[in-house]
Amino acid sequence: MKKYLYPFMALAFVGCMRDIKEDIQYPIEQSLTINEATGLKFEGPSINDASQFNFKVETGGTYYIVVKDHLKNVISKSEIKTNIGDNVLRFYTNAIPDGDYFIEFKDPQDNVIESNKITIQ
Amino acid sequence: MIKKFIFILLFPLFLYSQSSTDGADVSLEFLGTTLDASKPLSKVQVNDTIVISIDINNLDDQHSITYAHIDVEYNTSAFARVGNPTWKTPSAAQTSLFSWNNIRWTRNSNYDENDLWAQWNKSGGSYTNTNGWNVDHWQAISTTEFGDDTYGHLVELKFKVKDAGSAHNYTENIYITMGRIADNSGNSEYVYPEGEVRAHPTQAISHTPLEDLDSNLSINVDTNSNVDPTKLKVIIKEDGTQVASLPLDSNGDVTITDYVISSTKTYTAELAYNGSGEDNYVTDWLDNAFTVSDVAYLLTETEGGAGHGNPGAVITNGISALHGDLTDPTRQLTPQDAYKMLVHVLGDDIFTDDHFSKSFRAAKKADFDAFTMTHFVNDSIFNYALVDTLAPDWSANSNKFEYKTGILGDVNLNYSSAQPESTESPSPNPTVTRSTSTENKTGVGTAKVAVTSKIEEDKFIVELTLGSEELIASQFKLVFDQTRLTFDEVNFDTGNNTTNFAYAGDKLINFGSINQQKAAIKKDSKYILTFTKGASVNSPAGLFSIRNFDAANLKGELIILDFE
Repeated sequence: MKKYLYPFMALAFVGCMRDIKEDIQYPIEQSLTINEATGLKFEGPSINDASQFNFKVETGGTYYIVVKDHLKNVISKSEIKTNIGDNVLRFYTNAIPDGDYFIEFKDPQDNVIESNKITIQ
Repeated sequence: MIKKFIFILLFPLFLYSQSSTDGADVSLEFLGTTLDASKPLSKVQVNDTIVISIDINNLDDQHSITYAHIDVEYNTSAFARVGNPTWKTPSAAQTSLFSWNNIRWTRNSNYDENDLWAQWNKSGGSYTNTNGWNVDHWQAISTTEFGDDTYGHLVELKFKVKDAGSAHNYTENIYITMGRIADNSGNSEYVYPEGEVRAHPTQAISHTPLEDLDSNLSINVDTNSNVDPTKLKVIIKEDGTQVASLPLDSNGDVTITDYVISSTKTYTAELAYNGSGEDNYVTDWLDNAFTVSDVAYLLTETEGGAGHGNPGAVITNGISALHGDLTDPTRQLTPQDAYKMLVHVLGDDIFTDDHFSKSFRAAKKADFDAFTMTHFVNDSIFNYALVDTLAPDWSANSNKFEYKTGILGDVNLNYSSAQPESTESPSPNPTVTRSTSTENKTGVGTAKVAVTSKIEEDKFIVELTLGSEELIASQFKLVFDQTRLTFDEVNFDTGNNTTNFAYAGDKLINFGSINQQKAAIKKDSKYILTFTKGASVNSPAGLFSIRNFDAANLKGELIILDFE
């Protein structure tokens, strides 16, 4: 019986072990580097599908990305969880018609933390 | 064997070489009219003056053409040669013209009719007295070459086009009868031989001229600012046969002068959809025009309607009434009309197919502008269709056929032409306008809608919350990134008395609610849309956008939604 019990216990032990989390820190592309403590940077004034942006904050937590058309109508809004410092994410454009847009980053109290005007191509 | 192979290989070249030394071609080339050089022969009218050149094309690279005489006959009932001919020969050339009246060539049946030198030089053909035909004999001789390129005109002629009567046959009424071409540049004259001076490609003019109708004709189609006129076209038919398909310009204008050309034939203009690429009449226009607020508006008019109801007194605009009158009996707005509209908005397409022809409408501008609710109720004749018969006033310098347009189901007229204020106040009275990149809408007020989205594990969730307690209907069109998301479901938290609807296309979800119990949709009602996201998606930014919206208050009036 013991010859079955030991391997089983060993498997259970290994299975219950906490995962070893490898926290890889990828370098931020130079074009997205923000030297100040906070800021917002897109790859350029014009972006296309899955372009990256960097939203750098001193206080991590929940923020909202608000997309407004050129007439200032809200057409999309998304909640993101951020870490302190750089937060490099992708901006998808397949669901947004080409054109000029205002991108606002707001805190939960609806304060605009950062904003930018971009062209989606 | 090798010789055979080489011969087969080079055979096409032999043919080509042979044709390049094959005598000369003589042709009648149409050069438009004296007033319009680009006018095609098919559009030439009675009283136009046409310009015709005698074109000589030397195909013989061993000889130069220094002499030509070409005879051209014409019917004097159909044409009168006018003005001075313009010789195109070298400046030192000697030219001459001899003309004979009431003479016509009797063709030499022993040779091809286009074998111009054989026609004359061999026995069998002759000029004979024939009333109504003249012959001109055009001759030139030069010390330098002419006719040495493809368009080496000998001489340009002008003919006034005459009305020879309806019984006249215009076939070959201008005709090259014979020709002699020679090279005098050597020690002895070389005459281009029989069989090698051909009338080609055009030996005769056979056009039956159009009537002398000089009125400029055009069509203007007025559209709502949400309807791009360049995505419409006009099909012109002459006695039932299509003669033109013409797109409208950005002002809704198109010129039809070249296609409506007879006072005795019947012409119709038919409006058709002209979208291309990703343009789609149903999703771009019809589904945005025919919305839940239209249903709510009609319900307030009809018995048992939503809102507070006010049968017979809510809709005061005749065009609005026409757009809601979708069932029998016609010219009455009944609960059945509202029910049919509701069925469509809830996702059951009542048009099934041929959506444009079944739902887009046009009427003469004057009729459209004058049409009132009284006309609707009294069943006054109103040609609201896609086809109209054109009846120009040919004595006028110009005729402009003007139309206005609408879409069935568009009861609150956000996709239809406007009437003048003098006719009747459009209803409902708009006070608020919202413009987006896709449309303009006007309503009587605004209502807040909170929107947000987030990623939760492998799901992407979009949530909309109504911030008003005065809405009886709402409708949203949401575009999502179909390359990264798969739509799962919509959950409605809108109260027990509300009818909800949702249907999804490839990348667009149409959803909303309507309360038919004369009560508002409860405040803070929620629409929660769930998608399964692709594994690589790590950001919610830009995964969806709100494309269009629609809402109505308790009176069925359109409300503008303000997203925040």
